[in-house]
This record gives sequence, structure tokens and C-alpha cells, in this order.
Amino acid sequence: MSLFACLVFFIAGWQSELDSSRAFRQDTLVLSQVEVHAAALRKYSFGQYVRTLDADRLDQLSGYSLGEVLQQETGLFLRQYGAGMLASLSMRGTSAGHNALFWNGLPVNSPSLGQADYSIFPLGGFDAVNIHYGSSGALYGTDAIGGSVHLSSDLEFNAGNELKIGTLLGSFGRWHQQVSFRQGAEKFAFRTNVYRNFTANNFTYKDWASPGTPEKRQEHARVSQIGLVQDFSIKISPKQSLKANLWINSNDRQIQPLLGSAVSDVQEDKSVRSVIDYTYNGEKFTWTAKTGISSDVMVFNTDRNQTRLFLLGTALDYSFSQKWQTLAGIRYSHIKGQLATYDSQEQRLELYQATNFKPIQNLGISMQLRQLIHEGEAAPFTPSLGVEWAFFNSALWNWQLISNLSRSFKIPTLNDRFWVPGGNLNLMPEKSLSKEIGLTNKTKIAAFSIENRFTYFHMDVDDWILWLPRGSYWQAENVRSVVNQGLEYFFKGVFKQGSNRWGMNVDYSLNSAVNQSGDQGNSLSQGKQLPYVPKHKIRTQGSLQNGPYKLYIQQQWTSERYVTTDNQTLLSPYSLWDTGLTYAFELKGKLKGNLGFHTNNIFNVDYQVVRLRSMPGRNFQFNLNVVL
Amino acid sequence: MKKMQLACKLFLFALLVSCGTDPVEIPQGAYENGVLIINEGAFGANDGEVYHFDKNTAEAEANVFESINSRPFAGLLQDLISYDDYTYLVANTGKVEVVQSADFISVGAVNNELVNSRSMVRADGKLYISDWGPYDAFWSNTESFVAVVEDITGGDIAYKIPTPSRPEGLAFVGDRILVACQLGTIAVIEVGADEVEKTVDVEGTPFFFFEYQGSHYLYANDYDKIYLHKLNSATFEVVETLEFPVSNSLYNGNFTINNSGELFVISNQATEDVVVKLSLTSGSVVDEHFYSGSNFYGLGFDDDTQTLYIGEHNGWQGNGTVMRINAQGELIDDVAVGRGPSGFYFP
Repeated sequence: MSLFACLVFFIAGWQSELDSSRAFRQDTLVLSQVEVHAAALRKYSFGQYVRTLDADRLDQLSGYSLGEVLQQETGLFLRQYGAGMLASLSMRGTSAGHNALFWNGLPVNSPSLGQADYSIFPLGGFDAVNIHYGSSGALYGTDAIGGSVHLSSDLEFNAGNELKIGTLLGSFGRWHQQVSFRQGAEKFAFRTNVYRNFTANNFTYKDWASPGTPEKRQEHARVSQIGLVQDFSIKISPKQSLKANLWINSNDRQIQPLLGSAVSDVQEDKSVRSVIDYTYNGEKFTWTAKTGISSDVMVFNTDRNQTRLFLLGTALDYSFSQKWQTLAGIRYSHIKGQLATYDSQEQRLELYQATNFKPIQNLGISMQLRQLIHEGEAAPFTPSLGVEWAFFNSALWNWQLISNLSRSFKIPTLNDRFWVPGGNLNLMPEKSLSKEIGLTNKTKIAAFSIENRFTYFHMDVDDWILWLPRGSYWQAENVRSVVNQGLEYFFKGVFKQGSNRWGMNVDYSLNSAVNQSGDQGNSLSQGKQLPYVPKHKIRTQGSLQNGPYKLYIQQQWTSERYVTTDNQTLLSPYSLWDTGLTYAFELKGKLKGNLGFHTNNIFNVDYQVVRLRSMPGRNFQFNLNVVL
Repeated sequence: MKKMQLACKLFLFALLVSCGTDPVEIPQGAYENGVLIINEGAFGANDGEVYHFDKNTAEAEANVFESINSRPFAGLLQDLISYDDYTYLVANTGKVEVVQSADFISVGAVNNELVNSRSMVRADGKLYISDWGPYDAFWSNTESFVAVVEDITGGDIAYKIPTPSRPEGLAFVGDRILVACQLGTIAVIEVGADEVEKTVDVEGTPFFFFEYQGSHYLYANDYDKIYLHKLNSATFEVVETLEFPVSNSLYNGNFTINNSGELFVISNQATEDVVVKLSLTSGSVVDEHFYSGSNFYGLGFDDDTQTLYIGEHNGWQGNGTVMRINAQGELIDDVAVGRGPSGFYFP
């Protein structure tokens, strides 16, 4: 036992709670698999927000990509380079590479690009989406400067057999098909899931690049995805379990041309990801061991780029008492890249430790430490300290003060270091110091139930890497310093009136991301908002549920985005409205499912998320999921 | 009363006659003076644009094309060719926009079948547009051409004239079109027949033609030198080559020349970019360090004010800057412009 206690281990912050307000009563909760994963993420995250996207809503959106879901369902902003095209996430005003993405605990940001294309992660590959807002490098390692996104699979024991067939038909040739079968016995569970997504993307758009701005039909923007997911769980004994997940995904697309260009680029992305988790649940401890591999091949026209990541880690979560819990882990990663202009490999070793201290019932403090060794060089030591204090608690009201102080970092990507020409072996990791403070409130009065969450954050990001022209080629250099600050506000309200259940959700984010450095002497950029970081994004959803029927309407408004670093060109704000009606059915307990009809972009708004990248107008979707 | 009416008619007649016999004064268009600044735009953003610089106020009007036509230019602006009536904006993203020179109002475009258009010349009522054509798997351009459009306000391509290699600058001399082809040749096209009549081999990588004191020259460079090839006006053979020992001259072949036969070129050196002054008349480097800085991308010379204009791309992270330099090589002022200022036109 003490041996285990001395071990350091894996999955920073995988062990937590459903949300902050429940953090002090975790031992009494019975959680589903998805909830267990979410709880694990929250356990050592006092002072920060880990949000789980609504599972029923995700079910309605099967066939969507993760990028579409985050753009449509949250206040996060993604740079979408067209429908179904590259989608990169910006959290708290950071760049695309400053957010970590995990699938079942495996880091899946591209090692060569240092970021993820959220458009090639279809919902068919996972069951739950958790979003960790804010700097969390001490918990998750490299890249998690602005936040992190966690995708996880849900496979339960004793869940019986289930065959699920789903389809979604939509405008512009959209067709999603998915079949999954799962069996959950007492000691063994498995699931096989296959899916196919296709979109012709032949929507009409206004061609701003041609005289007279004629209306044209989009060509060369077809997207095709196919994938297989295989999950296994074995309960070796009452205390031991083994879980394995495999995800094979192939994404084939024509790259939607920029307005004014007549190129016919094509891109193929193939990925194979697999993880195996061993868990031993002792009386006071949980020991986990994990291994995984992520292999990605991207072929752009004829250029082939391949990366492989192998991960091995172990972690021990020990509970000394109700007041003290600690997690320690070690993680080793081996990365190999065969890119168009270079072959390279590198190794990373990470040690981390997290401690929760709850001196009194309504106060929780978590501290995390992480040290990453990258190719023998120490990355910035990464500590983090978070506090949650429930300063007012009654049957009707719960008020909490939350705060967090943390450092984070980003290791230079393979391309930054090795690309020929311009890769720079002397690059330092990008680093950040983040502070945040917030207030949460939960109120339940009669038929009303309300949750508010308000956070202010401030973050300094230094040694930001840019590629700058140096004579006849470009070179990666640590040049930029940025101060990001802003507000996040979340509201969730429910009102029950007879059989009616009214709901309202609001996500608002204010992001100021100001360039302090002027990018190597470019004074025009100094003191300016970073490009493609909207200062405001608000997403509101209202719903009415009555029995099996649910009607919703939602709106997202995104403020203007600057196109260049000197803020001389900007893109107009846009507002999109969506609506839909869903119906959940059950026939004699043998067949159940749901169906829905959705209208997106009701007012047929002509908008561009990224300049000169056309987006679809009004479109319709019908989905049907049947469970046998 | 009748006398009064007659007097009025006579007065009106006199007025009409006087108006008819005076020279007609057409006011100059807003863009027929000052400086037109070519901003190339950034790859993947298609944000090329034209800025207009007022020499009197030293202020720049941004995004002229978009503000006049209420739509973005949406391309990478490779070249700007201006005639009295129309100005042609050549985008290397595969189109040529045609605007009225006086007011920049769009009158048409060539935007079908162009791939990587580079420059243009007008001859015999037709447009001749040089185009690299598509890249192959080895990033070569084996299907380069000069596109011919039979309407000076744009429209469809009538036919294509294959060129020996990537075509850049064009010149209309006599009844021939000269094409600077990057693998070291000049292709000579006979206007009317519209096919390559002959090729002339030259040293270096050819970029652009220019005229000085009645003679036609071709600017070419390689890693070590800049070449100015003087051409025979009838045969287009090289009659004289001036070689200047300027290494690392800018890869896009940008240079400028003034009325005195002084050429200004950009040399990318180890720690800075340097404007080097050459003399066409003496065939030598006059000042190897006329002005230095970083991120130099375009040059232009205003003979009226004897001022050198230098475009700075500012690392392509944002928009660029234009600096004005006097004859002594001193900075006069600078002004913020669009992305990647690569060239200047002085109407």
C-alpha cells in the first residue's frame, strides 16, 4: 500500500466530482460511467469549471463533428474555415494550440501541429464531452493554457444488451448512419459502433469575389467520414477492472476553396487510437495504469504527414481521510513524426502530484504540481492552486466563491522544432500564468431552479511562438506576449409548471486578448486584440418539455472579429437562430428511441466565421435513433 | 419683346458656340493622382487590396476596391496595370478585376480558368494575361500559359498560348508581346497569330521588362547577381547585359527605376534588408547601402518628388507599412497600409 502511495501516477485530475457544489459530498454519490469520468476530471479542480455537455442533446446531434457541437452548443468560439472544414478552438482568447484535447485520457492534439482539427472528431467516436475552462497545465500537461476538452466513452457493466440504430438526414446532402451494439454483463462489457457521415455541402452562397456578387452553389466541399469504435471492459475481480477502447476514423474531404480562389485541394485524415486502462480500487486508494497509442496520417493533396504517440502512465489516488486526498502520477510519451520535410522523434516524461484539502465542510483547496522533462530539458515547473468556499448554504440558496492560480505551458511542436526550413531547435516552451476568481450560485425556490456561474480571468502568455519570414523562408520564434482577460457567465434555469418543464441556458464569454509585444517590432499590432478572437459570444437556449416532446429555440451571437493583428480589417458580427422539436418514444418496453426535426440558421443569415469562407444558410435536419 | 427674345437667343447661341469651341475640361478622377499602393495580401486570406496615398496630406485611403465596389477584392494582388480608361488588378489566385481608372468602379473581371495569374498587357483590343498554370506533384508548373481575352473589360478566356516556363512580366513592343519566362527565356508572341514565334535565352531568372530612353530592358536575377538585359527592338535578342554583384535580391523580382536611370533593388542580407542603388548608365552599384531595415517587400519611385517608396510587410502578422525616403536616403515619414505592400503605381 505504501508502495502505491509512493508511486506517482497518471491522469491528472481524472478523479473528481459532478460539480463544485457537490465536491464536499462525493463519497455518497452513485455515478454512471460518464459521470465517473466527469467526476474524476473535477476532483482536483477546485476553483475551476468542468462542464459536461448534455447527453440527450448530443444524442440528437449524432453525425455532427465536435467542432460543430462546441460552436453551436457553447459560448466557445471556433474558427471554422467553411462547413465541415478545419475548425480550431479558441478558449479564453488563446490560439488553437493552447487547448488540450483528450480522448479517454489520451492526448490527441496533433504532435506536429500542436492543435486539433475539431471537425474530424465526429460524435460517433465518444459518448461524453467535458470542457475544462481555464488554464490547467498542472493537471493535464502541455497545451492546456486556455483550457481542455475531454472526450470519453461510456460502457457499463450489468447494462444488458442494446442495439442502437441512428440516422440523420439533412440539407446539402447530409446523411449520417450509425449502428452500435453493446452488451453489459456482470463482469464483461463490450460495444461495437460503426458510423458513416457524408455531406455534399452543396449549399448556395453569395460569391463576393465576382462582379455582381452572383449566387452560386458551393462546389468542391464534400466531406465523408467513416469510423469504427470498439470498447471493452472486464471486471477482473471486485477490486480490479480493465478497460480498452479502440477508435478508427477516416475523414476524406475536398477543401472548400476560399472565395476568389480556384484551388481543388483534397485532404485525407486517418487515425487509429487505442487506450487500455487498468484500475485497482482499494479501500482508501485507487491505482490506475494506462497505456495508449494515437496514430494520425494526414495526406494533403500528395503531401503525407504521419505522427504517432505512445503513452504509458500510472497513478495512485489515495484518500488519507475525508479531509485529505492526494494523487500522484508519472507519464511517459514517445512521439514519432514522419512529415513532408523531416523525420523526427522525441520523448517526454512527466511527474505530477495533486492534493485536495478540505479543512472544513464548506471549504475545498486543491494544489497541483507538474514537472515535464522534454528531451532531457525541464519544461517550466507548473504549479496550480484552487479554492472553493461555500460561504452561504441553505435549503434554498448555495453561494460559492471560487478562485484559481495556475501556470501552464506548451511544448514547441514537432513542426516548430524540425520543419525544413525554419524549424528552430532553440525554441523555449510557451508559458502562461493564469488567475481567476468567480462566484457560483444555486437557488431552488418552489418550481424554480436556477444556477449562475460567473468567472473573471486574467492570463499572461509569454514566449508565444510565431512563424516569421527570415529572408527566403519562415522561421519559428518565441516572440509574442499576450494578456488575456475576460468574463465567463453561465446560467441555467428550470421552471416546472404542471407537466411542462421550461428551461433556459445562457453561455456568455467576454475575451480580451491583447498583444503586448508587437510581434517583432510590428508596432501596428501592439496593444491590439488578437485576430479571430471575438470579444463577445453569447449563446442562449430556451426549451419547453412536455412528456416526450421537447421544443427548443436557440440563438448565438458572435461579435466582430479582427482579421489582422493590427485590427484594421474586421468581420461583421453575426447572429444565428436554430429551432427544433424532438420526441422520445417507447413501445412496450422493447423498443425505444427518439426523433427530431431541426432548422438551423432560421433567418438564412449570410455569414462568415473566417473571412471569405462561406457558410451554409438555412438548413433542415431530421434524425431518428432507435434502441432495441 | 421680340427684340428681347432675339437678344436672348443670340446670347444663348453665343454661349453654346463659346462652350463648343473651348477645350473640354474633364475633372481628374480620384485615383488618377497620388499613389496607388499594391498590397499583395496574405496566403490563405485573399486579402490583397489597393490603398491610395495622397502625397499632399500624406494619408492613405484604405481598401479602395472594397470601399468603392462594396465587396472585397478577394484575391492575392500580384500586379496592377493601368491604362487611361481601365486599370487591371491581377490576382495570383486566378482572376483579373477590371475597374475604371478614374474612380475604381468595377466593370468586369476575368475569373474563369485563370489559375495563378501574374501580370497582364493590353494589345490589339485584347488582354494578354501571364499565368503559371497548375502545380504538378513536384511543385512544377508544366502547363503555363498566356491567356487571351478578347474584351478589354474582361470575360471568358478565348484561348491560351502555352509558354516554355512560368511566365511573369509582359511587354507590348511593336506588334509583339514579350513574355519573361522564369527558366531563362523570353518568349516572343506575334500579336494576331497569337503563338510563340521564338524564344530568346537569357541569363538569370527573368522577371519584368522596362523601358529606358527608348530601349527595352529585361530585369533578371540569380542568387549572386542582378542582370539587366538590353534587347534589340526588332529581334528581341540580347544586345548587352549589365551584371551587378548584388546577392539575395528579393525573390519576387521587385525593383524600381527613376528617370535618371537609377535602379533600386532589395537585398535580403543576414541581419537586415538593404535597398541597393544601381546605375543603368554606368552599369555599376552606386550605393550598396542606400537604406536598410527589415521586412522590405516592395519598391516604387516617384519622379515628381524624387522620393523612394518602400513597402514593409511587418512579418505578415498584420498589415504593412510604407516608408518614404528622400534622395539622400533619409526617412521622410511612414504610413500604415494593407497586407504585404509589394508595389506602387504613380498615375
